[in-house]
Amino acid sequence: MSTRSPDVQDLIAKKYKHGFVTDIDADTVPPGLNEDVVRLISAKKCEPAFLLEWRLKAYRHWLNMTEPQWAHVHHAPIDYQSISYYSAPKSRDDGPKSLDEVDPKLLETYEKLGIPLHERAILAGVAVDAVFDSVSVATTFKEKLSEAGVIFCSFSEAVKNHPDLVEAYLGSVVPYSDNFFATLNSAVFSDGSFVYVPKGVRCPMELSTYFRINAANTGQFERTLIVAEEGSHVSYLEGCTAPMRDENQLHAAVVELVALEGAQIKYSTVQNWYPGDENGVGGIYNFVTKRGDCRGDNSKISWTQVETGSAITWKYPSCILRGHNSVGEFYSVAVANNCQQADTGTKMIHIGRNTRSTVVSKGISAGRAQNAYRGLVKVLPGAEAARNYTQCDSLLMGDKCGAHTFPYVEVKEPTAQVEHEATTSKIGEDQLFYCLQRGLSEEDAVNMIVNGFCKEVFRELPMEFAVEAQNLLSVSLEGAIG
Amino acid sequence: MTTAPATRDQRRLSPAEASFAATWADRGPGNDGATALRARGFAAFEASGLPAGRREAWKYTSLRALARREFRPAGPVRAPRPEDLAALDIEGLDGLRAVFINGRLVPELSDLDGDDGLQIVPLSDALAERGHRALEIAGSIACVDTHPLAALNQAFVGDGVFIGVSPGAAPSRPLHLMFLSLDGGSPVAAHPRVVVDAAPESALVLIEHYTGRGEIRNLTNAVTELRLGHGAVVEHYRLQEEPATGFHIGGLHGWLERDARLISHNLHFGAALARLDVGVSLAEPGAEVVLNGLYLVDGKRHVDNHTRVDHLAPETRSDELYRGVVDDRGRAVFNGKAVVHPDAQKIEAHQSNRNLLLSREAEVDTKPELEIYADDVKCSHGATVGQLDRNALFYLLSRGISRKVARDMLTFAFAETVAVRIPLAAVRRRIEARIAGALPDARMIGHGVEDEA
Repeated sequence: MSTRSPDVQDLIAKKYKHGFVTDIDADTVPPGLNEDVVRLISAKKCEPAFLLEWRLKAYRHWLNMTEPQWAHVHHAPIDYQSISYYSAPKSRDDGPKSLDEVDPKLLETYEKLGIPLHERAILAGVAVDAVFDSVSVATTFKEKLSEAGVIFCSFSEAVKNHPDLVEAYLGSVVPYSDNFFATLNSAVFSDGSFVYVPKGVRCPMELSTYFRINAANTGQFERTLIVAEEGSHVSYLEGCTAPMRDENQLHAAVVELVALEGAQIKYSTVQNWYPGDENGVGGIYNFVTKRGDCRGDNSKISWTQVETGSAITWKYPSCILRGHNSVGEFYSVAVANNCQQADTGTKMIHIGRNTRSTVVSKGISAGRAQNAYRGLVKVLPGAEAARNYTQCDSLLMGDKCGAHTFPYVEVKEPTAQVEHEATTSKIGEDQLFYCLQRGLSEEDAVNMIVNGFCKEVFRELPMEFAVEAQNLLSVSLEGAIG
Repeated sequence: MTTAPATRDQRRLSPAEASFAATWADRGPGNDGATALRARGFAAFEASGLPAGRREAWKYTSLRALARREFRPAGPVRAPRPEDLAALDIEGLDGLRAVFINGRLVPELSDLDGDDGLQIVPLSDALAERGHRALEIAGSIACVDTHPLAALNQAFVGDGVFIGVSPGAAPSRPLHLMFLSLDGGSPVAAHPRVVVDAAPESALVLIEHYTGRGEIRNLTNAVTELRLGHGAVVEHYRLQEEPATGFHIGGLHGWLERDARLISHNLHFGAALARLDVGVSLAEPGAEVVLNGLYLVDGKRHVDNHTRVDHLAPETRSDELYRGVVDDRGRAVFNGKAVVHPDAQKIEAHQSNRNLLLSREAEVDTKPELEIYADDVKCSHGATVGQLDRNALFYLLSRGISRKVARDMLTFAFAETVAVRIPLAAVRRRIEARIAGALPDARMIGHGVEDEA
């Protein structure tokens, strides 16, 4: 999951209005899913036999699965046969030719987020061959990484250049049979990111999909695999605060993290895909499986997410705390406005001794949105002295929205200590009044209060991200009050 | 995707289900005013069957052991001698008493001469009377579609009692309903129902006491429906002390009108498998519910408490405190849900569930839920699973108290938090004695709080 989306409908409509003709690419398969499509995807990508086998196993398993219905969201049934599961990397020719052709609403948003001009072009999908700044940044970036021995490339490249690593770790955290959407992803995944940090290496910089040039158009079934060897350290940023162009409605990504002994992985996400319009028309369905495996002792996996986009979000970044003394963290801000629906949370599975987990979830609902936290803390027998602390707070803005909390706590170990706390309330009128009488506008006051509410999560974000996230929040909540 | 529940033809009936169906075939819906009620109950039960598989409400509680048993309806049982009865009674409780054996009211053992304004009628009599309030209330609060066991109870509705309190009446003595589960040879299923009609501005103290003797293998499947009119106050106790071989399934369903107040104390000490569904609807502004719960789970026992409070109207309040001590191979399940419905503004809903997990083989599954569709609310919930506070333990050890005694003292104190919220002294003393009884080294502690009554 890296790219983005704006007013999909508008952009698509625009494309035709301006008379662009999209040549039928010989590499695009017609909509529908069957074994031949899976074979074709694998063949097109020149994948080794093991991967094809794995995809086919997943596909066959998927045929016997039913779509889960337990999430607190509502949507029309998805027709899996109407999706085209493979198209060759799209050329940029079908995009707008210049910023002038881009939806002014989108540009306004970029303005508010303070995004530099040349970046706006990339984000909006303008057909620019290359943006020089970006390329040069990326090149120096790659040099530094290879010096350190860190592998950071697209998933397809990894399959070509490091098949042994892929074979060893792919599906070891999220098996192909895991759940409906992960299984679908396993069968048809298009591309994604691969990160391998060798033993003892501290990755010299934050890795960001934004800087991976070929990250564009990795499509709707993205797969990310991060392996941190013994004692290594990596911080990975996914997504981008700016809404980007995207034409796929269903997104079913899978992210797998493997932390070996003493390794630390920090995974930060800012998700701002197209949420649909005020009336809930359109928007991305974001059904993601993210899981980290603290496989080695003393390892640590930390998830931080700021979720403001998508019409429907269905996402539970999890940690399997297998290694002794391993640590799992989950910090989340989820904003749902207008008709958005979010069902998100985390799972912390305590297996090893002295494993610790912290969950801080801040949900904000506005308009007619429904925002649910769903979490599981499970302590298995033998997870001696396991410790969990969960806090999930919800803020309500508007009398038509909903905030829900569904935490599951399952404890089978008498030395474990598990605490869960949750609160739900609206913005304090006294706080608002105080700000207003100090001369702040209502909008600024709300922004300030909301940012304070989310502070615990924002301070876990890498610095630049944190600043952008704050701006993003105020843009997302525009018009929610008043 | 939820699979449609298999219909009866597709599903093989479990021995328990087959025995219920046989009883129904034998007995039919009867021909009093409750005929339609029973038919609806049986139809709903037939459609759902005993909860099995992956039903969310039964995720952590399996009824397999129950399903394997065949139950026959309660028949005549030799009434216990008064001295046996005294042994089961709540000491020091001065109240009116109704005794039920395997669900059936036994008038000889009961003392039902109520105060003015208190009407106590065997439910079967009330249901037989045209236009009786019992017919209006029974089945209107406990939903047969969401509670399969309440549906089963409704299919056989008749046993139990109707309690009516007149407007403004406040009976001076508590009403003690004693449900005895006694050995009837083969396993017996009892389906008693308590229907309470508390008229506006009335007050009632009601104790439902489920107890029994011997190695019974019975099923008690009890349902209570409470309707509280404007300003009515009901203090409700549910003391479950069934022998550790029986099954106990219960429902407590309340409907509260303007400014009504329900205080529920739910105390679980017995049964091999106990499950209670509490459902309270705060239907009009000013209604308030307090839910207190305590469960001690030891041996191989299983206790499941599901509570749900629906805030249907603005300015309603709920406050829930459940605590449990789980030892040996016991398993405790808690699911507390507060739902704030659209436009129900100015709500306060608080919920707390704390569990003490004392053994390696014990398990606690807790799930406090909030579902909120309004914005002017103050809602919170908390759940913990843990052990005794190490610092407190250390402090006691440093004072020369043995580890065993210290452990029991702290456990007692943990449970006492719920016990002190019990206003009725006789019940509180009983609870404290039970807690102390479960703690072998509790003799050091003596008896808790002074009796203020």
